Amino acid sequence: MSAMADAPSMAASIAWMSDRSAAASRRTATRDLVAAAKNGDTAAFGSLVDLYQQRVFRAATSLLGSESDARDAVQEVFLKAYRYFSKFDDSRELAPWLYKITTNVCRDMARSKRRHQGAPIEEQGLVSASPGPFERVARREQRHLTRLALARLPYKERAAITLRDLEGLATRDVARILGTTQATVRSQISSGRAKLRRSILGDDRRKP
Amino acid sequence: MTCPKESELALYAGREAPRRRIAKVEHHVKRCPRCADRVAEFGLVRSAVASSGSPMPPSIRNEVRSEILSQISREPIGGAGRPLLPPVLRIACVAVVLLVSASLFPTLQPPHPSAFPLEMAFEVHRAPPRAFVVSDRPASSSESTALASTRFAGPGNFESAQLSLVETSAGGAGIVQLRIPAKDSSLEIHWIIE
Repeated sequence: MSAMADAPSMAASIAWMSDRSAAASRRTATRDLVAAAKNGDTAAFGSLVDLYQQRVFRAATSLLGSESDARDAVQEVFLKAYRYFSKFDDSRELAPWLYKITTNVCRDMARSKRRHQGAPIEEQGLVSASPGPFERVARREQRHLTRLALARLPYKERAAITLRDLEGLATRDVARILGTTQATVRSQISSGRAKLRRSILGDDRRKP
Repeated sequence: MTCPKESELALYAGREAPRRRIAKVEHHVKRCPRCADRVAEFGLVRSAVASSGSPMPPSIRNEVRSEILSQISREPIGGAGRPLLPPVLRIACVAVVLLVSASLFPTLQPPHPSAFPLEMAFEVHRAPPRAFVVSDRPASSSESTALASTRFAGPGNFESAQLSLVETSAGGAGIVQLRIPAKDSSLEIHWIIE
């Protein structure tokens, strides 16, 4: 019998613990799931998928500019995580490790897409605005434009900005995930933001 | 104070600059409407990025979860990170493969020294595939995994092979040094097992 037979229900309880006082118990519960998954409990691994796939998907849509590619990326990220789980250090948080796999998987997917299809990433698979209430269309249009602008950034700048501004990670954590220094991350972020500002809001050529 | 560079304002918008620098830029921005506008624009860019990621539709969540679980049910967890065999058995297997290979090529003539590096690779046919590389220089991990066929080249007439475990990590992976006395006595081979 599985050591974590009630893993799905545990995942559900973890998801509902949103207040700060519950953060510690959430971490402990996640650590228990990680330990069980490392011992081969697939139900526990499934619960980890439930807990983290939303974040992985969100980051992947920003990095790849396409929801269908992001879906494939999520699958690939968790399969890689499963295969290399024995290398994961339990004393660390799982999310940064998953983000690291996500940025690597998305980088490879973006490269192979460019190589095989030749078309720039922004011309493929972006969500099209379907008719609907004005607000929804406007939001979708803004998201579309932002993804176009993000897709034009060099991958490293895109990854740094996604982790910082979309996922809300600290510069220190972004540097750790991308395997670089905080100074480099800051430089990638400032350069990326400047390009995004020109793409999204237009370049008025005005110097501050 | 002259206006800060655009890159500084971009970092200031996300409070990524060092604290002292933030205070300095803040002091300027409060007095310069143009820079304040620019900072506000960077704020808009940050919000646009923050809302650019799509939430995962529940139908896709369940679908992806099922696909992942169905795939992992066919393989052991951590398979790619775990050595297939304990170090002692791996060394023994390597030694056997080496001796068999050396006996298969007893009549090869030593090539001209310019034919170095001597290179020998073996593949163990068990999933996931692993390759062991023998060369006259330490191989990188990418080299060791890229080689996928059994190849042999270099001076023959190996009289004997001496194999010793030089270094191992906790996971059992490590470096095995292999010394093969060949006609060229200067040859020393490092066998890298990833």
